[in-house]
Amino acid sequence: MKKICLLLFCMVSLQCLAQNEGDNDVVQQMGEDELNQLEESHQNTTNVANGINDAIGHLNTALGLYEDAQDLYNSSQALSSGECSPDFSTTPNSMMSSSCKREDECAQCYTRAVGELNFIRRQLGRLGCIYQNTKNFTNSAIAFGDNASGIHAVTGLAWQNARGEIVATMNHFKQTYDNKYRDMIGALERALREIDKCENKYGQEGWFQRSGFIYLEFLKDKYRRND
Amino acid sequence: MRLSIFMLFALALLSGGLLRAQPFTLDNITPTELLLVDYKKEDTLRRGLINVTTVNQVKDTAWYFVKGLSMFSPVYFGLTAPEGNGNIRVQLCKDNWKTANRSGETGEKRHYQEQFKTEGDFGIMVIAEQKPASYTMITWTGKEAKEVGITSPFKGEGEGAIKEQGGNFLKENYLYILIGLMVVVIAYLVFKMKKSKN
Repeated sequence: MKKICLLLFCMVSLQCLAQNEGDNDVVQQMGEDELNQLEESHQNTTNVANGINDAIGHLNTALGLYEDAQDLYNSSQALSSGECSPDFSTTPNSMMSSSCKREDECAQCYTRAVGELNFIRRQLGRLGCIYQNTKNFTNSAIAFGDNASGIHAVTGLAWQNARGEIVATMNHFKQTYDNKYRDMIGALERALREIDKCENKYGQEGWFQRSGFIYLEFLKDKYRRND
Repeated sequence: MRLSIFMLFALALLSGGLLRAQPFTLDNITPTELLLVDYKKEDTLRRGLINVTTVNQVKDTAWYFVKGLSMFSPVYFGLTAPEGNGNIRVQLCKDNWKTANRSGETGEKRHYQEQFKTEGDFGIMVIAEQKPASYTMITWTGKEAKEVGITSPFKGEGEGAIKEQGGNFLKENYLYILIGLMVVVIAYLVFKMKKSKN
């Protein structure tokens, strides 16, 4: 027991001794005010300021290649090839009919309602991808730990405890997803009902029963968690 | 027994890392979080969030991570070293510190940059071939794009409008059509009456 304590003490001491001032990286992050001052002054008074100005210059050069923010986004690729990209396509059977001429009062009514619909679709797409990415990451981490913990019986036992915590965290995340999913489906139905009001007023009555409901069910199935 | 306690202690440290940070590894790594602040709110192209960090690195490898990113926003990462520094290698990692999704080095240009999009967070591993190494890192992310590939869920938007327009033409102009027909009928009757008188 004494030898074990001594070993642990030595490990901690070694780490403490290693923490001399010159042995640590110096990391300085600029705050918003400092950045604004730097941009306003444009003065290269020190080597550090020179380095920062060079770095910002590279950023401006990179961004200046694009016409606008949309162009910049369109040209960006996902960091990881395995990363989820939202799929916003609609199956032909689920597509909705529309009788609004989009030229007068109907257009104003429709634009607002469809804008809300597309916002919800965007958020659902993002939610689905966050879940998929988190699930893939967790599965990879668990597989990694399962393989690595087989080295020794004691490490295997410690890993089982840690594994249990990871699984519990993932289960909690699933509940969070389900709650968010329910909220968004509710918002989606409200957006479709708004379109229905426009159709009732300017186009065909009973639009939600004929078209909107089918689309609602399509999206409910698409983003429902199945595991 | 001594080895078992050591392994237990080591694994306890490592499992905490698995729960806490992304990317993950069983090595004892404590990455530094690079905090994003508001940037150029009035500029339609450059507005977004940014982190500017200067580093004087004395260790072989340094780890950082950025979080809070949106898949609908572009991301720029750049590392610039002033003159007098040796080569600096950079790896950008999404899930695992051992697997680099993007990598490169500063080289003679003393600069490395990448542009991408991602959701959540990513890790940055910086390896200095010559120590100490001074450099500046910039991580910038723009506002969410308006067009992110959302296709219309409506079918034949133009067809419905055209059909409806045809129907409306009759509805709106039926009065004039009726008057026109009545004029034709009256003219025909008058012509017939005159012919019969003659």
